[in-house]
Amino acid sequence: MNDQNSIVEFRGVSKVYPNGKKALEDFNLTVHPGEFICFIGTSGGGKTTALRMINRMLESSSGQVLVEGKNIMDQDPIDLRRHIGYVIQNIGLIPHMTIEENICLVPKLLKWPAEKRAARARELIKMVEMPEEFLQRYPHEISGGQQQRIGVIRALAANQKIMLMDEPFGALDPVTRQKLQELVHYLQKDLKKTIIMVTHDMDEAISLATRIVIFDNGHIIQSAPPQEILQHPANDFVRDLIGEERLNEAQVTLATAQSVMLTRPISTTAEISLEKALAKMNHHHIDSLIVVDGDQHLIGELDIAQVIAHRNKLDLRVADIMGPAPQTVFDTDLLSSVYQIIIKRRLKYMPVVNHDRQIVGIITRSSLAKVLYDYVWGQEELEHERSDRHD
Amino acid sequence: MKEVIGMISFLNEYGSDLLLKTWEQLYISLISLGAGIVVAVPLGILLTRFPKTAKVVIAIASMLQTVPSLALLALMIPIFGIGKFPAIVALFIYSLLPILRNTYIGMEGVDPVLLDSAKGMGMTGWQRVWQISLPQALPVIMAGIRLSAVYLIAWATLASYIGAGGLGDFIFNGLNLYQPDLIIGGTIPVSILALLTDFLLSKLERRLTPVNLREEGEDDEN
Repeated sequence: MNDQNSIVEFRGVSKVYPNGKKALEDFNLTVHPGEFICFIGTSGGGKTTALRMINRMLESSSGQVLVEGKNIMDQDPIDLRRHIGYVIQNIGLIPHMTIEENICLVPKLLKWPAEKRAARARELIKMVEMPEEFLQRYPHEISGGQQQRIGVIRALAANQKIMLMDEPFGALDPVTRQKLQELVHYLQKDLKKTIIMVTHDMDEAISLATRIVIFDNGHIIQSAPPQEILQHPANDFVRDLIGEERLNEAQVTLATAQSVMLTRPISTTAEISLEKALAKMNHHHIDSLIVVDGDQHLIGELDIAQVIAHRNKLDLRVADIMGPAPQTVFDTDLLSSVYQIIIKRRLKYMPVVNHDRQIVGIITRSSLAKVLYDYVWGQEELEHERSDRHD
Repeated sequence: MKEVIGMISFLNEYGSDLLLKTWEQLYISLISLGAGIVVAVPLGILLTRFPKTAKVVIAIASMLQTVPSLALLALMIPIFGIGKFPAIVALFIYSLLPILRNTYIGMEGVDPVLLDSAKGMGMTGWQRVWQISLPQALPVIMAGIRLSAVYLIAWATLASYIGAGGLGDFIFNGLNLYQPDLIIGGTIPVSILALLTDFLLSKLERRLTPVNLREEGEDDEN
């Protein structure tokens, strides 16, 4: 059962520290080339342990870790580490080496010729938009954000395919952090690096990761793309970790028409008389009816105004006077786009259809109001909590 | 004027002898110091790999340090006889502790984060010692060497007692003959030698200090 398409794979890995603490238990994870994995969770949850096992900075108590299909225990740890990029929070640039020497550390260990190393250093510093003169400076002569940018490019100087990052941007201010996030995003997206990053910043994980792996107590709680985690948090732990605010926001921005529509809309067939249609409207306290055929396909719309106009001929059939079918949305459409259409066109409601174009529900202005209310109400709840804490 | 004339006549009488003794003093100290560095620095580095042994070894070195210097010199006589060699051995033993302890502390004091990232990038143990720990620990190691150097130059005076020569000859002669000029004439060169050595070593220390640990304004001296 060798997954040919994996670049890093954990197979039933456990790690027990000498003091008996279990950092990881029966941990399984397959990382595919080009993925951006974020490990997130409580401290002591095992995320850093798992990360450091990939380049044998820690060794598993049982189970196997495979890098590019090969068991890492069969490889020389020194050689393994030289082929995996490693970035840590405190940067770890060597203070008595110039920026160039720092960038070329691994290429030098791999015995690249001097000209090739120098060319690589110039190429990389250009990539992070820093002047070439910086190559001759020492780490303490450049800013913290610049140092960490060097830390990041140092980890790929020898064309490493995999980059491990342990809370790389935790100590940086928000503006600098964002720039670095853009850089690593570029590395993954355009240079096709496989990045595995430990972070405690949920926003960072959501914006960068192609998959978020949530840790608690040495176990994976959930492993899924950010959208899925936001929409379907596995349990309360994940919900807490994401935070009420983000969940509410996600509910609005990521919710689909299906999640808020009213199911079983009041509809009618085209064959019944106006009298019966009017009775139906009255019974359900509504002012219009959607008209469907036998297969639940939308064929038209009957408004109370049309009925009034024909109030003397109530024996007519609906089909004789109904208007054209109103605009519809798919049940998988994002609520945000539905919302825009309803507001801009001043529609009272929109029928929701599935991909066979059958009616499955409707969204009314009042259902939007409810979503918005839930969102605002959720926010206020948080505000209250916050002000409570200040008191 | 009188003092100047006195000094000139002293130098006339003892000048060449003074130079010879100063030279003896210097080379006894420097040979012991050199031997101390050659033994204590690698030992200190090695000990960082065996923290438990390190405690024992440093305790032994501290114990040797507490033996009175004159007694240590005297103890050398039954083993090595008299002359320069036993003096050098005794001084060498004294040089060990400050250098050993500072090497150990300096190496241990290197930022673990730095070593972790170096290891994570695939540096071997010795590469980390040579390229990271040692350069970062050099200022502390150098401080130990300077301390040893000043002590050894001062204590080498006592070596005259076991027939090693040096400026101690002047001082002890002065004591025996009640001739203060001999005592002063021997003491001043010792102090000058100690200060000069300390100064030169401090220059060396600055050159060896990694750029990140240098204080402001020192950069332009190079």
